[in-house]
Amino acid sequence: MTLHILRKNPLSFISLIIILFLVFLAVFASWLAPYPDAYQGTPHVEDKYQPPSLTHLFGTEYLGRDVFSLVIFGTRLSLTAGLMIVALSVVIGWPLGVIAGYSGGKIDDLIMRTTDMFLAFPSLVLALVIAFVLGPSLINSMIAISVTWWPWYTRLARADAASLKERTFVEASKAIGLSDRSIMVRHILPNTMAPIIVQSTMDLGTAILAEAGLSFLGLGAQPPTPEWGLMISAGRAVAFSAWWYATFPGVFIFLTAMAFNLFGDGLREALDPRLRRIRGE
Amino acid sequence: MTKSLLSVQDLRVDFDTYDGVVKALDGVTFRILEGEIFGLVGETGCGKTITALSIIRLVPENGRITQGRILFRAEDLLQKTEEEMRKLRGGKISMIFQDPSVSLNPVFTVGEQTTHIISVHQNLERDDAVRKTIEAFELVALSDPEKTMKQYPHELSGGMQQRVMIAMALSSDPDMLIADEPTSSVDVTIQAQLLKRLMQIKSTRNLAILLITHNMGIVAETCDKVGVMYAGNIVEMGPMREVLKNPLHPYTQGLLAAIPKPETRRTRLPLVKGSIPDLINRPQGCAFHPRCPYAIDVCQAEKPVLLENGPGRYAACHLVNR
Amino acid sequence: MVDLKRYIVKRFLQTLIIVLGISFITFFLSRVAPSDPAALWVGIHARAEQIQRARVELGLDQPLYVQYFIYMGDLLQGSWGTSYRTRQPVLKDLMFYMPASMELAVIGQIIASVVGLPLGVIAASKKNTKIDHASRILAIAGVSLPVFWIGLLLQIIFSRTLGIFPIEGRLDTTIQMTMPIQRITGFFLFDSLVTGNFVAFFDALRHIILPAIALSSYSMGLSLRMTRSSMIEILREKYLKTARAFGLPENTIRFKYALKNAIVPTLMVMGISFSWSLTGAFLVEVIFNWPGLGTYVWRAILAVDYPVIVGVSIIASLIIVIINLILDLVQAWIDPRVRL
Repeated sequence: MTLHILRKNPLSFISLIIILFLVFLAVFASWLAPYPDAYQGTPHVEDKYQPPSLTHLFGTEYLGRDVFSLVIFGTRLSLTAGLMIVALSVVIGWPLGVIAGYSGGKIDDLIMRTTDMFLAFPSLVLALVIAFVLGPSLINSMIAISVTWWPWYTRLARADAASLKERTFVEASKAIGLSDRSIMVRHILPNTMAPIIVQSTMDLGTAILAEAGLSFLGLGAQPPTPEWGLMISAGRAVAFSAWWYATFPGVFIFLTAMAFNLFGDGLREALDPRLRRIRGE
Repeated sequence: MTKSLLSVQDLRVDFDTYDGVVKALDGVTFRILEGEIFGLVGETGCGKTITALSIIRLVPENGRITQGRILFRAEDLLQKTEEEMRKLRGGKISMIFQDPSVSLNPVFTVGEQTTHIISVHQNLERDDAVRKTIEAFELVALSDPEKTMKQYPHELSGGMQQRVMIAMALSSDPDMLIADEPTSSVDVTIQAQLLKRLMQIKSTRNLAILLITHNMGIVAETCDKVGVMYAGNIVEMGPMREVLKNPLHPYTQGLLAAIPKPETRRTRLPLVKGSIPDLINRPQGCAFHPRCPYAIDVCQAEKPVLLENGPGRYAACHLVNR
Repeated sequence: MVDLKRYIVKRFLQTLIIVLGISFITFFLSRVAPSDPAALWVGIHARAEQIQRARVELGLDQPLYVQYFIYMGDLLQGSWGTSYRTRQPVLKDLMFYMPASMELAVIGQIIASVVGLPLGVIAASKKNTKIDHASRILAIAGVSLPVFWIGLLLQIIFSRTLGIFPIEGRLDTTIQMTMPIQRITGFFLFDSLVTGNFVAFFDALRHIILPAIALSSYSMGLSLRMTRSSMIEILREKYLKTARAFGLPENTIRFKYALKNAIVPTLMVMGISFSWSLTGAFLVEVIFNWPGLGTYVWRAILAVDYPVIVGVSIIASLIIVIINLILDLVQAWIDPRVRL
């Protein structure tokens, strides 16, 4: 039924197609890129900074590599990075939230105050500092961003867990003698999954944006990795002459984030029981 | 002879939904006299609330009143402009709803909300409006009206919230009050108190009340006349005592039989078999015939009309009307 | 109003605890990094004993918790350390650069709200029409745009190609020299207006527009989306139906009854998007060479300048925390249910 409603919303459908297309690009990058050796960073210096043409759709960059191929390879990097960031944040935040919501009392307070602290911290600064402390690299930037993101999932999970706690099936489970830990793992955790899934789908786009931002600042992927944010940063130096180098990767970042966000938005509308009944109440 | 206050004639209302057109009301006809309490009963989904909303023309967006007349003192409400209706609502005709906790605006005090309503209907200075608010609160037996006025809805108990709603509804001395399940969300003791107060107010002000409920007990205690609704039609109507003692329509009989009585020693409550029909694809003929234990051939073919069966007694059933 | 006072006190205490926690985090971060602060302080060509002396001077030989207390004590006294790079007291540097970032964030927030809030209200009242769908796409586009990229694009299109706006900076250097803005608050737009320096005002305006627009994209998307959904919720509420049933005119219902309920979620939206603006301002500052906290901390990170990194973290967090506190208090004043 969800698919049915999703299909009724043409925007979500289009975004799903775009996402699948991007995944396709990422998986088959080596076969789809017209210049596969671009990934290795093999310089063809004689070709540097060529404007877009039929041989180089997006032009070339400072090493003479084909920007179009680089962007395709970048798809793989960004999608993976986005996935890992969200996965890590969820793995940390979700259980914490369930524990907080279910336990209540002092544990709840402790976890939530910590969450508030992290949330009050300007996330970019925190991510920057962590990335810097760990040393600039793609993986470290992913970790850094996850450290600033998990609080959102904790909050989400906690609210859900807290309301589930009041339900009778929890009382019933306790009456049978299930330990708190069992209840949390077997009952509460699975039941809080839905909003987490929706939120994480919606967050994929933002995760990709965040990662591109860190790479742009030089704290993420390092040259000559074909990461979109990094390319924009390198392209900035020649922005007024070789504009294509900074522009096209950005277009892809925008499209990717937009596709994920649109899809997530459609998902949310489809799953929201109140919004679902559009006509006839 | 008491004058007729409200006369609903052949009211039909359709709703546009995802799955098709729902024929919610299929020709509702009834009349309420001045100062009379008319109980409209039926199970959930039979169209009682839609009927009420149609009278004040606040049918939800996807609903359409397709046919009928609603005469309020000989004027057809369905012909009035929106502005004329607006003046009537809360003025001559007031409606209160089931759950007061969501019916009151949470960011204004109950006093403010009541004063708003009063100022809209009775061109008064602020101080006069405030005084009228206090009067209205006293009318519904709210203790310490001046203190209550300054409170927010969530600070009041369910019973008090409902009293506030009634105060708002009666503040401009309407001729008719429509009460949609007014006591369903409060507990039984409060329910009794509210009903008692309502009855007192009714007699002093000659207020007509359209009381919508699924609770036959309340009907028995308060109503002068009762109308039984099923699937968008009135299937039986008449003076309360007579309908309760001698129900004509099989559905009414089923409803009354299902009320547990302490005297009977039966172990199981008799059920009315089946469930309410699909209102998009209504059954042919009588809407009740699939569940009716006495259905005969004509019930499937022709839709029965509400016919008089004695002084003020109406039933829509082929068997009864022969 | 007793519950309001109680709520205020409660929130203040909470805020205090959070700020304390933030100071833990920042302190911890600064001490955990791999490079040796003492060596950095003294410089590249230092000898071992100079480094050791520096270590003692900076208090780095004490156990960690003692360092924390010294650190907190200093903070509260306004002595936030000295920047390794600029050799200026950090607090002084911060106070100098902060207004630039604040001004950018505020203008960005204004643009975002002016576009996002009314559109959100309109989209909600005309739900599922073309306007609504267009607004939703606009909102999602706003939050999907990489801020640094759109800034760059704006520069390429409007500064370089069309030449309408300047490429970077806050003020033209010529104007800075000939008609400097008297520094009252540090907000160029405000100061120049107040002192009647209209030439400088327009120049400052020209400089702030592009970065503010770039910054506002995300906040605008956020504001639009959240305003729309909260208005939809509100318009659906039963108490509006009741108000209609009692004959209140439609105008009163929309602009008094519905709107007052919308203020609370709107403030919440503005709080969230302003917090974001503050962090996003960072990236924008780098692109537009805007002399604010972002650029300042950026250089600090490159130079491994701990006192600055720590100081900026604290002040940025403080600003966000205080703004959220104010917004919460306003919400509690308007909507009594918040005080529970």
